[in-house]
Parts: sequence; C-alpha cells; structure tokens
Amino acid sequence: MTATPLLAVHDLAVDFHTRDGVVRAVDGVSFQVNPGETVAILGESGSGKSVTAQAVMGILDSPPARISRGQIFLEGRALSGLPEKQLRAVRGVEIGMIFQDALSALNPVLSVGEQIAEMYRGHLNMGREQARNAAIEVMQRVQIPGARQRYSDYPHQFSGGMRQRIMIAMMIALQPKLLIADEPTTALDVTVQAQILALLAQIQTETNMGLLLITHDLGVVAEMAQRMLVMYAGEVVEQGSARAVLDQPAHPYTAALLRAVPSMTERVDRLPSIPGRPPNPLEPIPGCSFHPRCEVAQRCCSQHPGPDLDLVKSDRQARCWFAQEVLSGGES
Amino acid sequence: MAKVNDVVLVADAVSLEYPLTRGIIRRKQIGAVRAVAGVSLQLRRGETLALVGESGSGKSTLARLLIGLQTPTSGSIEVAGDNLAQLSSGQLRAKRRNIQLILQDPYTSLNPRMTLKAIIGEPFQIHRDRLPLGKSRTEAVAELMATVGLNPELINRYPHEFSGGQRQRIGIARALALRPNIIIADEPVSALDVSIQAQIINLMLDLRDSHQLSYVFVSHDLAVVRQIADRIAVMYQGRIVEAGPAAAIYASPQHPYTLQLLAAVPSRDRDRSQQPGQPQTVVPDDPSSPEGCSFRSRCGKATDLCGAVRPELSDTGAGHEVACHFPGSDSAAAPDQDPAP
Ligand SMILES: Nc1ncnc2c1ncn2[C@@H]1O[C@H](COP(=O)(O)OP(=O)(O)O)[C@@H](O)[C@H]1O
Ligand SMILES: Nc1ncnc2c1ncn2[C@@H]1O[C@H](COP(=O)(O)OP(=O)(O)O)[C@@H](O)[C@H]1O
Ligand code: SF4
Ligand SMILES: [Mg+2]
Ligand SMILES: [Mg+2]
Repeated sequence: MTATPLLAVHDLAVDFHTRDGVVRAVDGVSFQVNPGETVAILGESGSGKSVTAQAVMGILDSPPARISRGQIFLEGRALSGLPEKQLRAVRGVEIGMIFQDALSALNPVLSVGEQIAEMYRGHLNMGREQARNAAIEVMQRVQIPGARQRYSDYPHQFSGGMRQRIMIAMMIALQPKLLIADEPTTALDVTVQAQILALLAQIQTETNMGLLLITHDLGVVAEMAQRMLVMYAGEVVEQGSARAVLDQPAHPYTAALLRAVPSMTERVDRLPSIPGRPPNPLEPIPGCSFHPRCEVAQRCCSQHPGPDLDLVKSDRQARCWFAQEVLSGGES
Repeated sequence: MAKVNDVVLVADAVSLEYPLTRGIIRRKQIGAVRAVAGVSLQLRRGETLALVGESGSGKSTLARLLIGLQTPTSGSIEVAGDNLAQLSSGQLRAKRRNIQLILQDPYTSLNPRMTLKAIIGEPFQIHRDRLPLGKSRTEAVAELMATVGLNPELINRYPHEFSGGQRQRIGIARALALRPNIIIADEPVSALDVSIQAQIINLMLDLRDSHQLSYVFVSHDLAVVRQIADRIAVMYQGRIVEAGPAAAIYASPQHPYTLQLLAAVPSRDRDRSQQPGQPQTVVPDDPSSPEGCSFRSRCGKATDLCGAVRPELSDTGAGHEVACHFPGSDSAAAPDQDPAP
C-alpha cells in the first residue's frame, strides 16, 4: 500500500538539557499512524512515551527539551519545519490530545460548556448561540448525562470519568484527524475505563480518526490497538501488529513484561519479575540498554554499539541480537 | 468456622461518617458522608484478605479504622480479642505495634529529610523493647534492609536516592521493624511499574510465610488480587456487597457489581471485536440512594424490590456471602440506557 500515512514520525530524537547534563529521552523513534487506525505505545514510566507524544503535538517544554534529530509529517506535510503560528493551527485543529489528568488540562474558572464553545468560536468563527448549541451537542455525543443542564457547571463539579469525557468532547469538537491519548484512563476505575475506551472506539468508527494511544496496560493495548510499539529507555525495542506481538514477542523485554503482568484467570505461585530496575538516563548503558536485566544476554549485548531495530519477520521489528531465538522460543 | 484463636482481627458492624460541611469561613455541617457502613469482617492468622472496589468505596477508610488511626462512629474493632475502643492509650500503643500499615505512595509517605537508618529505625524509639536482643538500632535496621532486599550499605542514604520499588521496600522494612502479626497494605503496588510490581508482590508473599503475617490487602487491581488473596471482600459505597474465598469469587461471582468489575478489566486475550457487552450505562455523578440497594442505578437486574429494600449480606454456602436480591453469575452487563435527557 502506498497511501500517505496520516502521521509519520521518522528517526525522532529528543534531548533534555538539564543541570546534570544532557539526557537523551527519546532516541531514533520511527512509526506511522493511518487513518482510522489505533497505534499503541507501551512502556514503563520514564521510557519516553509522553515525550514522543509531546514532540508530535509540538508541546515539548523547550528549553529544557530539544528535538535534536528527526522529522514529523502529517499527511505528508513536514511539521518540524513549520513556523510557530502555522504549527499552532495544526495542533488543536488537526491533532487533538488528551491526558491522564483532565482536571489540570481544563480551566477551573470557566464552565465546561463555555470551554467547549470557545473552541468553536475561536477556530470555526461560530456565533455565541451557535457555539453553545454545538457544545451541548458534542457533550451529548460523549454521553454526559444531562448535558444541557450541566453546560454551566465547572470542572470540579464532575467526577474523574465525566471530566475525561469533557476533555474528549473539547478535542473532538473540531474533528481532528489524529487524537493522541496519553494514559487517558490510567487514573480511572476499570468500569469507567471500559466506557471511555468504548467511547473512543465509537468516535473512531464514526470519524475514521487515527488514534495514538499511550498506555502501560497490556490489556488496553490488546483491546484497542491494531499496531503497537514497545519502548524501553527512550528507544523502540519492538513493533508490529498488536495481536502478534502480544501472542509471540520477539524482544526479551516484551517477553519478560508479558510474563510479569498478573493474570486474571490464573493464579501462579510466583510472579516472574524482571530483575533490577529501569536505567537512569543520565548514565547511558553501553550496548543494548536492556542487557543488565536481560535473561538471554550474551557478551555481545554489552558491547558498543547496541543492536538496531531490525526486521525479524514480516511486519515485525525488534532491537535484539537474539530476536529470532526469542520469537521461536515462545512458539511452544 | 475458624477457631476463635485463629482470628486475629475482627470488625463488627463498623461505620464511619465524615461530616459534610458547607461554607468556607463559617463551616456549617449540612449532613454526613457514610464512608463505611456496617462492615463486619474477620482476618484469620496467616491469610490475606483483599478489599477491592472502585475509588471512593471506603477501602482506605476501612483500613484506617482497622489499624485504629480512626475511631468508628459505631461498631467495634477487636485486635487479638481486645476491643480497641476500650483500651487505654498505653495499651493501644502496645497493641498498635502488632498491626502496621503500608501505603501506596512511596514518594510521599517517607520523610525526605531522614536517612533510611532514621526512617526504618524510628519505631524503635517508642518501642525500645522490640529491638532484637543484643542488637543495636543500626544492626537491627541493617538486618531489616537485607530482609526486604535492600543493600544494608545504603543505610545512610535519603529516600530520594531510591526508585519507586525500592522506596516501597523501605516502607515494608519500616512496617516490619516491630515484628507485627498483621499488616494492612493500602494499594501497596498501585503506583509501581509492572516489572517492579511483581517483585514487591513476591516479597510480600515471602514475608507472609517467613514472618507469619496476616494481610489486609487493599487494591483496585483484580489481577493483582488474584495472585495474592485467600479471601476477598468487594466494597461498594461503604458496604461489603460480596465476600468469600478468592477462588469462588473469581470462578462464580454472584453480585452484579462484582460481575461488572470483572468484565471491565481489559484482557490481553481479547480484542475489540471479541469484546462482550461492556457496561454501557453512563451513570450521572453522585447517585444518592437513601433506601434500597445502593447499586441499583447501575444494575441491569434491578426491580422495584431493589429500590425499596436493602439486600443484606447472606451466605450462599461455603462462606461465600452476597448482598443482592437476585444473585448469580449469569448477567454482567447493565442494559443500554440513553443518557438522561
Ligand atoms: N522536564 C524534564 N527534565 C529532564 N528530563 C526529562 C523531563 N521530562 C522528561 N525527561 C526525561 O525523559 C524521559 C522520558 O520521560 P517520559 O516521556 O515522560 O516517560 P513516560 O514513558 O513515562 O511517559 C524521562 O526518563 C526523563 O529522563
Ligand atoms: N477526610 C475525609 N473527609 C470527608 N470525606 C472523606 C474523607 N476521606 C474520605 N472521604 C470520603 O469517604 C468515602 C470513602 O473514601 P476512601 O475510604 O478514601 O475510599 P477508597 O479508598 O475506596 O477510594 C469517599 O466518598 C470519600 O470522598
Ligand atoms: S440487589 Fe438488585 S440492584 Fe442490587 S445488585 Fe442485586 S439485583 Fe442489582
Ligand atoms: Mg508519561
Ligand atoms: Mg484508597
């Protein structure tokens, strides 16, 4: 297929210039999102998921952050070179983003209805009455009970799940082509999470919007994503079809992570854990950054330079010298 | 039934109300929030009892009541046969060393200006008699650190120098200092990454055996609970709505709320196309249910009876209790409902 991807990120690297030195938070990340597709980024805290998303959205804190390499394309247009003003028009209109903490993303002193209406007035030049009606309509679309009556309520008067719906309403108001969701359900109860995920999926079906979904929850990946990337220490260590990666991982980190997740259906005597802890980005690890915690590591793994993200089989890339072995080892 | 001396902790019809106030300058009490409502439970020696439920269901409040940090509005708590409310403050202090608390957030629950030696050794300041015979405080702390998998050479370091998982180990070491019989753990692994979560769960399982501990394990994560709990109590709006052996609850959940909770957990073995009917009812915030079953606004089985009469917790056999007029494993999903007009 040669259709232009909705989003293409090519060889992205982001540095943080801190007092203690330069931290490379994201290193050589490439991926694509097609219209209507959900791509998940899975990884533990500090692995670079949010920084990747913020770079795409153009909202990195810079300084200290700086994109030191790479390019970002939306429908083939390079975003990286765009002047600030045009960039602002793209984000918020063509790309929307929702966060884990809806409360801090919403204006506490403006009613939720007015905040949504503001989007329509600012970007679509709607009049006051028209914007109000459009806001109520989108509030109904995200299933806020009693939307009309709750138009004038403030963010703190809503529960966490309802606030997340309001943020989604604000973001889909302008019908973005891409929605970036950074841990959108991490702070919510499972029952509410299920509803928010179902809502996102429904909006996607209706609008063919692309979804970049950041999560540390394997179950969420399995239920939502067609494709997934696994990040570790700022790098993509594996990527491919979500179902295939979950069924048969090729990278030892993915495999270990899958084993460490407690199961709902089966009780084990001892949970297989991953020894050690994630690397400190101020002290880069020579060779493969996972080698100190890796159970298949050999001498080559600790030597410069680390392995590349290579094709292991069709539609699957992994950054490991032993990816073939890991892949076939899990086949039993 | 368990033998009396097998029961280490008992809650009998415990309730706690927080005053509900209005006004900032002249606070006026306008009512009360019943955070815990008539909860009875027993913890047996060596077992792990999990409290599960959504946020706001009263799990943390119940945990604080069990440990004596809060006094119930009504009902009583007994630790090893003694009613906490009837003890003098000296007796209460002695009792408290038998029951210790581990909290969720290792970042905020440790004093940043204290070294590990001071943090882990602090309980010995009040309870000198609990120092192991012939050991100095430093030696005792070093031993505790080794027990929880921390390098004793780091005894003079500060909490910020440790990762989240290591900080949780610090919290566990401190909780173990006075050699308690009971540990109340309030979401002890919820803030940790999966790979670290498994390490801490394994540590807690090991300590349970080596130190003969009984746990009350508070969690909203039903997969974690599956790995550690012997018995489970499911809480909804301050009440226990289902309780029983863990295996029975996972194999045949009886309360519609438990069924919804279990069905909502995203599973790696499922994708969107195979998803069973998700609960689609969007419930308005704060459904107040003065009478009847507090779950009825979210329940697909609710009838007029559920609105009129509150179901009591009753045994369905083999210690599996449920508070529902229409218990059963059959239907998880609530009916599709249009949002309120
Ligand atoms: N404000 C900052 N200053 C310095 N380093 C930062 C900052 N924000 C992020 N980083 C670095 O970027 C890495 C990735 O962070 P992030 O993308 O937020 O991780 P996550 O995968 O948890 O979303 C962190 O480990 C940290 O080293
Ligand atoms: N200090 C407090 N003052 C008033 N209400 C409180 C206080 N702490 C908790 N609550 C209320 O009590 C109920 C139970 O809270 P909590 O025990 O923290 O639940 P959980 O731990 O299950 O999330 C909630 O409705 C909460 O808002
Ligand atoms: S008592 Fe009625 S409303 Fe409550 S859970 Fe059972 S069936 Fe549902
Ligand atoms: Mg993040
Ligand atoms: Mg709590």
